[in-house]
Amino acid sequence: MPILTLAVKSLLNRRVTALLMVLSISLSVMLLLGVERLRTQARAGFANTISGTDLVVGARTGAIALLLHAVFRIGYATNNVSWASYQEIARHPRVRWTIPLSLGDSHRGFAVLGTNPDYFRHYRYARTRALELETGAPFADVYDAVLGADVARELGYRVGQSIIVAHGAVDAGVSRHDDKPFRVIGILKKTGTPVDRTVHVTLAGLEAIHLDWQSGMRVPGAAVSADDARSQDLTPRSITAFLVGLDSRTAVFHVQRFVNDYRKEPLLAILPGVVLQELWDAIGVAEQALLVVSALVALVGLCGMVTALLTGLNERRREMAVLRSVGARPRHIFALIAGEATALAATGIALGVGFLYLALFAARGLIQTRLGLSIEIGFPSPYEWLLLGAVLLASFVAGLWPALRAYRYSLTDGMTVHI
Amino acid sequence: MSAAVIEVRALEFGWAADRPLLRIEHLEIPAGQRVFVYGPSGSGKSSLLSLLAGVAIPQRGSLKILGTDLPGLVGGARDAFRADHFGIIFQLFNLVPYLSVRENVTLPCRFSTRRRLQVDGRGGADREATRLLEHLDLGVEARSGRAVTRLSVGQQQRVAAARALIGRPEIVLADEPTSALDSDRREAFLHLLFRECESEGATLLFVSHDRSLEGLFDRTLALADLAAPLPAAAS
Repeated sequence: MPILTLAVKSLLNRRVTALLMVLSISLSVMLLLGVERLRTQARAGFANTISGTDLVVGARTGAIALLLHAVFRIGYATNNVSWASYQEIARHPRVRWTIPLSLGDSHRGFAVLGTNPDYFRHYRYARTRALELETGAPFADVYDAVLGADVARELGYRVGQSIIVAHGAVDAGVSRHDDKPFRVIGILKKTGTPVDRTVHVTLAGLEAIHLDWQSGMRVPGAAVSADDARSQDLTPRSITAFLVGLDSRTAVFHVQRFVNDYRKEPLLAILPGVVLQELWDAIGVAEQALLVVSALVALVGLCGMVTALLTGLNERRREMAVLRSVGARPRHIFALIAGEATALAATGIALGVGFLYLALFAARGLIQTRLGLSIEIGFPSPYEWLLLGAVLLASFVAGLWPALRAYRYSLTDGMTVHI
Repeated sequence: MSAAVIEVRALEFGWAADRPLLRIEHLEIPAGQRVFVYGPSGSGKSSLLSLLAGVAIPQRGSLKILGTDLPGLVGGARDAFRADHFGIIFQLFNLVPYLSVRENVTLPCRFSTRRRLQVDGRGGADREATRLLEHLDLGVEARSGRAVTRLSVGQQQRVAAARALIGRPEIVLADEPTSALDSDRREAFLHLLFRECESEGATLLFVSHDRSLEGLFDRTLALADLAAPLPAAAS
């Protein structure tokens, strides 16, 4: 098509304007695609918070409340699960492993989680990844603590350091368990999950620091020293929740019913994957708003292009008359302008995709270490191709306006143009 | 005498139907003639060129170009006819600014199959463009690849002449192409144009309001003489 080479040459002749148009389109495409990338990665990251766990069990409450508390350490548990019930469910023939979770205390704003070595053995995230130690070792002693990556980084803690746990969520003077400090024995690698912001201690240690406490207060005169506590029975009376792994996925509903129908106390078992999805659906509105905003930015980019093309049209009437005089038909003039718009958009889109990949490669390491989000740099997904196609189509449609105008000019002007 | 290239009878035309601007009772132009069409500003010179090139359609009368009833063709066919059989030179700004000198000259070959075939018979569009440009003393400019907007007005008009002549169209329409040139350059340009029209066998229709050049042509037509008095003007 001879007219397309004309379109390209015409654009090259006006390269500053063309470059600006291409740049604005490419930036908006980069934004659109970048937001879409982050959105899917964030959703995947969210779904990857907890894996391999078949059920989360806690005292009866809302499913989302239980998930938020047990997995994200957000909110409070209204009730606990008795140790006896936990033991009984853990002995269920289909249960392969359990991880007890005891929450409620904090350390300088970070949640303190009481658990046992099974946590490091069975906890999985991002489908199959196990927790790994950056330095140190898992629990050995009653007063051992293992820190999440963010806790260690933000507070500048190292292995061997001793830390004081505070009662409740507020870390202030009187509520500190300062008579029984914990010793940091290990620091975990970054996971990109709430594990990074958790101080892990032993269940026994948690029990020990509460021996001489009642109803959130130190019992006067009943002080038990850290070493004396070791000789006492440190089996907790209750825990907040526990994670359950089954011998087979097919047992999920069976065991869930068993827990929900448990007679001795009201318990709730949830499927974490299902509730995570529900939770994402609830908070996913924000990410969709983000996508809408970036789509609007793409629209602004196209508007800029149409404006520039329309503005340039008047001074090009002479050029069109010349083309008409050498035999170009009105539809050639139409194709010239529409072709320019499409060529601009296609270049802008290609450049935008290029920019995005450059940015992803450049920022990949930073995003991994800072946010724990592992960015996979692959070819655009079918949905992304769809977005790109939509931008190209929109620019073609937008280009029809100046093209139609040029078409009308070329019909009315013919070969005589008032200069 | 050769057959008429242009044949007009009882033609009436106005951009608005109720206000006729141009009226031609009878006009016949034989092949190969160099015709000077004189008319003062506003006498309908541009309208005549638009009619002949098939861009405008007369309200009344017949218009035959090379034996073809031009107003009888549909729009696309008229565009194709124009591309095949006409070379057109404007008063000013003849060139497409984003194309090179040679690309400007070969432009009609992109739109007209007939003219493409003509130049193919002579070794291709580029070669033919080079040849025409050299004949019009633009060999250096064609080779230098200089932007057409950097050429002088006289050079630009000669490039336009080469474009009008490429692929041997039968008719060259020139709409005051010399009005922006100095008087001595005008004659030089005309002589070059005549020479090339003659060697390509083209009929030349040269429209101007400046009578100083008419002596160089085979025949002069005054637009006013072609039109019988209009009823409105007569009263």
